[in-house]
Amino acid sequence: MKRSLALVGVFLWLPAALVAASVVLPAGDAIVHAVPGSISVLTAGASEPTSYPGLAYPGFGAVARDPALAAIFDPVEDRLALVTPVGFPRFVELRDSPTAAAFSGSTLFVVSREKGSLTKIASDGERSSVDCSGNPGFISISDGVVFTYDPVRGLIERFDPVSLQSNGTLVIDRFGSDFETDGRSGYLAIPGTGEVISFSLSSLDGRKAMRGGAVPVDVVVERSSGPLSAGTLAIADPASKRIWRVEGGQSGGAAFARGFLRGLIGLGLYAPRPSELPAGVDRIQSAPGGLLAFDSSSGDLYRITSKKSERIATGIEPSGYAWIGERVFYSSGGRLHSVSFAVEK
Amino acid sequence: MRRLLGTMFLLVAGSLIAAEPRLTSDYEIEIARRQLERAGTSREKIAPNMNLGDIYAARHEQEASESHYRAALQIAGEMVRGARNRADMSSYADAVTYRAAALAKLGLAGDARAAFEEAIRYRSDDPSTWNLYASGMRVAGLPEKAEPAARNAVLLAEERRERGSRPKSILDVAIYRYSLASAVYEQRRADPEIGELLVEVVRALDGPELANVRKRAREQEIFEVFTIVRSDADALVSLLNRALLLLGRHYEARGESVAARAAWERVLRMREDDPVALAGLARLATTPRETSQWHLSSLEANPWSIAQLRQYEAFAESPDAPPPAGSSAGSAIQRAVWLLSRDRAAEASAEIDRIQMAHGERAATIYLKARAAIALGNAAEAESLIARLGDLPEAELLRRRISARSEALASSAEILASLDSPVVDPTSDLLIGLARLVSESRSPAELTRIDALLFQGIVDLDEALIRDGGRTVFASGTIDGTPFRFSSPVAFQGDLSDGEHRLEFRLAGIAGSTLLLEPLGLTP
Repeated sequence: MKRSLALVGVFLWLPAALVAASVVLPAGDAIVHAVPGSISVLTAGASEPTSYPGLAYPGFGAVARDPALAAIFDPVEDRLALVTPVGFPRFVELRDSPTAAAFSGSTLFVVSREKGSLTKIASDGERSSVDCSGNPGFISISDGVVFTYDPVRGLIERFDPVSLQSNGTLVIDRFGSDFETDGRSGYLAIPGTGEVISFSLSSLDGRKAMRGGAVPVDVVVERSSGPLSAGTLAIADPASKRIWRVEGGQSGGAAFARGFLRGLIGLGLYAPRPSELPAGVDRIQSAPGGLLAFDSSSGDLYRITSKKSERIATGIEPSGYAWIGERVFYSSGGRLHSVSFAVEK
Repeated sequence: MRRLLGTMFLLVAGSLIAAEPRLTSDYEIEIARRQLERAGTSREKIAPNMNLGDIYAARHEQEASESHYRAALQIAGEMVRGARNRADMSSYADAVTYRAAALAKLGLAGDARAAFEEAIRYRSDDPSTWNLYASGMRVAGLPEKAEPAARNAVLLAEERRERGSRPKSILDVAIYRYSLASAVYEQRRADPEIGELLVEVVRALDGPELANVRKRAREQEIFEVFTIVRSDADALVSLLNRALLLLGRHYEARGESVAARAAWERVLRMREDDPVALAGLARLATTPRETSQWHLSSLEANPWSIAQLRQYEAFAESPDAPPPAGSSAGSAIQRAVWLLSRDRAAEASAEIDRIQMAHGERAATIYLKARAAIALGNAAEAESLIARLGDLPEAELLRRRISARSEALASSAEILASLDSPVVDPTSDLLIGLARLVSESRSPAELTRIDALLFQGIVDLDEALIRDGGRTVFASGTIDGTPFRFSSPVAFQGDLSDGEHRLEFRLAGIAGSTLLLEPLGLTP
């Protein structure tokens, strides 16, 4: 089966203008497009979006899958907009400047590196905050448990999602540029040492280092672990213009069992292959149809499948794209564009 | 990752200095221009462009300033792409940092923040990147976002210093502490942490570890405070100057006048014409003459600083402010401000014209011309001058003055419509409002109506000019506490005493704060 790239639609949502910041996010099967001063929502099947007043500087976002909800953050004016497929966005003033955020169900967790705080915003708008041990720049939620990472102090902190009480810390490698979790392990990309560090989320220990190329900057869990293979991590290494793939963390018992099973059915050992690219990419996003890889220096967006990599857009912002179903939506010059991937038989 | 601290250091120092009002000289511009001409690589062109941008910004020459920041931004953009093509991630991080700094200088806070965030993905271990982040956020008017970045810079630099206390690392810690103190000061001026940080900075700069750097500074006779410094000796002199200036302001905010004065006096021992220290001492002076003299020294050191001019403006409003004398640009500016504060706008306008003839047009002279135009009721000219001030805060201040004045006029016009002749015992506020309407109204109907109005009020006549038994000649007096004069001395029949009389008059206008009355009759 071969996939071909076809540009199938360009939506003119906003007047052509130079727009500095943009965020594109899914909210269920709707697309949310935020540019300075405006938020537009295009629901499935609609030909025109519905536009609302927006944020002055939409910088980044977070997505809840169920219920369909998108949060867009303005890290300059310290506000957020909660957007659903239907209805007026709800704006929330934040006490602390938001640095990163993640949903657990419909509850939003926001960290502020500047104030060293973690804030929980429930779906009914109720808010609570706690001080973190450090100044976290990253947040990840694994099985409902909240983990934060302070890259300057090298500090992982675990929080109870209900009480927001800290219930564990781990002093680990400093100066990471990304933090991800896969349910079993946490992963840190450390550009300075060229390593990806993993540790156990349950015990908050078991640090392991693996090579992540020359300058690993972003890491994403590309495939969760299954009976025949450990999970796969994709690592963006802009210095070597590759996306490296390595196996994620697994216990000794699980690794032995998978090796035994693969041998039994004649598969041999699993060795993920790296993807080579014409340019260095430094941000990657996993989606059911493959990976989206982004070059922050040029604004080039690539689609990476197991067989090839293709540039699908250029001149876009780091938060200005999202892959939904068979289409990638991206913001360019204040307008929303989409590229679809038709399947050839 | 390869570190390029040498180059980064330039911008670090540049950013720290940009926070204070500063002396900018043609000499400084010449140095930066020569640096730019000699620059061979993109990296070498960034610093002088940023430097020139800062210098012109300090002189309120917005267009020239922005053109240099934009040039730096463009060069940084090219460096970003070049570094990534070469897969040189260290140079990429540098270039992104330069780009972020240029965006911050251009006031694009959101874009600057995003670019700094990109830089620290690669450089969260680097104190100079955090410090630039802090400086950028301060420049962009977001000190609350600057403070935590500055704290990271101090934390990391102190860790480095603990690994080896070379002069460079001591100087770095001092720079980052100053930057943190500045970020805190912009939010909480009297916070004791500011004093603690700055005292540590001054102690480090005076300490034995930097003796050789101080010696080099003395040998090279470094006294200029540059926006972007090129050596440790430059940095030490600039940092000591800035730290002491800020320390003085902090002590002033805490009401600790003796300590503030000591800090500023030390600045003047290093550089006797530092305008910020002089202005600070003016604020702490105890007599009007001393205050005026310090303000004059400050304006002579930098006649084109609107910030300093406005500090004098506040003092000039005081009735005790002595009339300025002298022929320097600073004293001429002071005189223009003093005249404006006494409603002598026409004389002030002539003084400003003379300043512009001698020294060329500056933002400071445009500001004063606009003030004079407002005072003279020429709103259209004032608007056109204000437009040339761009986004300076003074532009908004002047717009508010115009609006307050036109509201007062509208109110006077409304009152005029309700008045019946004769108006008995008018208040001085009513007379001033109507007199301004005479000067500024474009409505012939309003002017005719004011001309037709008769007023009767108690006046306090000044001493008679002539008293010859049969007639008494008066020229001026006060009404309801406001001075007035007749267009020419008027002879009244009889031997009238000085002092209170009931005068019937028409309103002829206003000159400065003196009402012009046309007398019709006087009764004792």
